[in-house]
Amino acid sequence: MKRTLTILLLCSFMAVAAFAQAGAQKPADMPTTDQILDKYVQMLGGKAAFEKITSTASKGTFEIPAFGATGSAEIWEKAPNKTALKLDIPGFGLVLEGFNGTVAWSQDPQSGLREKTGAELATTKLDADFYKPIRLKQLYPKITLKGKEKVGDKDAYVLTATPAEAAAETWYFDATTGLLIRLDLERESPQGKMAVQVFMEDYKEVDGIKIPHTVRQVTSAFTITIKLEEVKHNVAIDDTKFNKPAAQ
Amino acid sequence: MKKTLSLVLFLLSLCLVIGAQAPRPAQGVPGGVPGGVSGTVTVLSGARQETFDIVWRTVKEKHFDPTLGGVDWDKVRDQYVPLALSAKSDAEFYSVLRQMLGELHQSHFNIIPPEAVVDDDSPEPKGGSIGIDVRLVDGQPIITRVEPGSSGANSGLRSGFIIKRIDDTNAEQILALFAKSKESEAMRTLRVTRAFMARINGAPETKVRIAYLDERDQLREVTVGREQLKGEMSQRLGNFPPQYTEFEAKRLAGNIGYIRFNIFVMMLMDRIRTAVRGMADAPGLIIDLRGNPGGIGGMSYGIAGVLTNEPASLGSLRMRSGHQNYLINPQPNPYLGPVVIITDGGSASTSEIFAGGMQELGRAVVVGERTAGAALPSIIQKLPTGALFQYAIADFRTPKGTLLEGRGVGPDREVKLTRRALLEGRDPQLDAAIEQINKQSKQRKAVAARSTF
Repeated sequence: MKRTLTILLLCSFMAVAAFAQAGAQKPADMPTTDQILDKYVQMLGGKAAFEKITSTASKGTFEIPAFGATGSAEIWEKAPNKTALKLDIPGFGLVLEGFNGTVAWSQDPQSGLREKTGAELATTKLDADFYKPIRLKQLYPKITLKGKEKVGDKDAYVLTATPAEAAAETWYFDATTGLLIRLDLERESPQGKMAVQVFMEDYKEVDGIKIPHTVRQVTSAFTITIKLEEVKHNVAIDDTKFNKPAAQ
Repeated sequence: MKKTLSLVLFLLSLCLVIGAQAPRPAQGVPGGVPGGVSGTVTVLSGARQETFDIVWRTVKEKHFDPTLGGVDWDKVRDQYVPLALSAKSDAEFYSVLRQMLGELHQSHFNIIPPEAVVDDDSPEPKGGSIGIDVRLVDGQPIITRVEPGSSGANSGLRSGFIIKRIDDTNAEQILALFAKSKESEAMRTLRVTRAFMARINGAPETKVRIAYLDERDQLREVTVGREQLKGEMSQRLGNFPPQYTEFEAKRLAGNIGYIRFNIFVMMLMDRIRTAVRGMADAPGLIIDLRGNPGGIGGMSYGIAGVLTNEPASLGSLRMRSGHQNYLINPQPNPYLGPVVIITDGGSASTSEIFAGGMQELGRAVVVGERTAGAALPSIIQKLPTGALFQYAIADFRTPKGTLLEGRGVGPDREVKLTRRALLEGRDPQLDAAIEQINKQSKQRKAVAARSTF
């Protein structure tokens, strides 16, 4: 789950694989958080399938209809917690991000090279954990089942989860398939604050794991649609790819 | 999750903060405004209905202020639906949409008709000019700059001449077009200026007749051939079409650095950054943003990053939900000497964000005239009819919380252009900027001398 999210630039949705029980509630005629999360992991392919993977290289595209903008995205992930991202935006240039387990950074043609600190670094670490799905009790100490709602025409179980160093997230699991289909979150950093609704669609199996191949991120201003075209597991990735480049 | 947020916030930095009329008309003519559309009806009523609905609904759902500043948007719809649907031509239909958006009394809400949308992505500019700039000085359209060696210069046009007629259109007619505008004086001035420039510029190898008052107030007329623009076109960025770009970096008397660029587009980012760093030995740096309508919003803090060694914020965008800070990320080898930014009423949007932020941070002195007060970050969406719809998604406030929209950036030192100075070949705003640099440079030397002892 984490891998899927990261690939789709939506790392946190991965965190849903192993819910903690603290604060869990069970409204009448509803499954428990454990049952929801167990089914979710099972429907994704199971814990054993995740543990067979130590790295991922993915390629996709993104589109922002409101801007008329499209571009390509490449994401690399490596256990235990290394990530790198490259966006190529025509007319703008390359946007790079990385985390080598210690240092998180970003680089783009406007701002240049920048090292992330504070809350921004903390959330990067949270999202970078390659095995996040099986470490969620540590990462999301408070998880609560809120009830049942519609997401489009689907019934979904709604849970809130609070990580140790960031704001609570709201997860929506398809009541029928067990898959995560929506994620609401709001994060604040020195860069600003933004609420985002993330919709996961078009789940496809890759090496025994289901991955949503279309993800829509909806904000008050615009929508970003990310489509995954290629996912390769257990590929060799040079560690230097995750390191902060030299300042220019 | 953080990646999600960082991507979303990053993409916000691509928002356009460009004054009033974002995309250039076809041919990439500098100073042009979309307009002069044909009277033929090519848009089906169904597409018009859909287009109208998208425009109206987008404002209702995405405007950064849910109250729309008190405007009853449902009532506005009722008022404009019949006008839009009964429009006899595409031009009339788009005009109705613009009027509807005008009810918001804000910048960065605009409709660009399909024929004004630039489809050509070649780096060669297709537009032509005669090498002059026109501004309103004391309410009169006056030539403020003549490119040496241009067809305008060779035809005898000089700074300080008053434009009286362009082809068969009297200057008074152009001024009258905007006389009843509900916009601010600054915005009206901006649009008038662009209307004049749009008529002066045009396709290369065509001619324009200009009647003017010379230095002795004698009415004269000259026919000038338009020459192909010498600058470059920027790359398309989504729905933001290629823009005509000009860039100039040089040393003035006393080794003072001078940088001028006509628009904020990514193509110029490296050139600006390199030019700023190249001024390391200059006693001061002047950044001339007169007539610069803005562009890519995030470039403001990108450029600020090579002008300071301390992290800071130029201000923040406030959306309907959430906000983004325009954080300055200090870059290696910044220029840390005195900086003066020259502005005028044509300095809009990103120009204002940059000037206003640098001014409030105490990193630059602003000289010249108040800016346009058109600083709302916006995006451009394609409509079913093929027209483009520019709409603001946020407002912008300076580090101290000052809203720039409708207010602009007031100069630390106000210096207005005068016809007399222009006729004498002087640029009083640039002269004042140089004077300011020399003053600050002296003060720095004095402080350095005291610290030595």
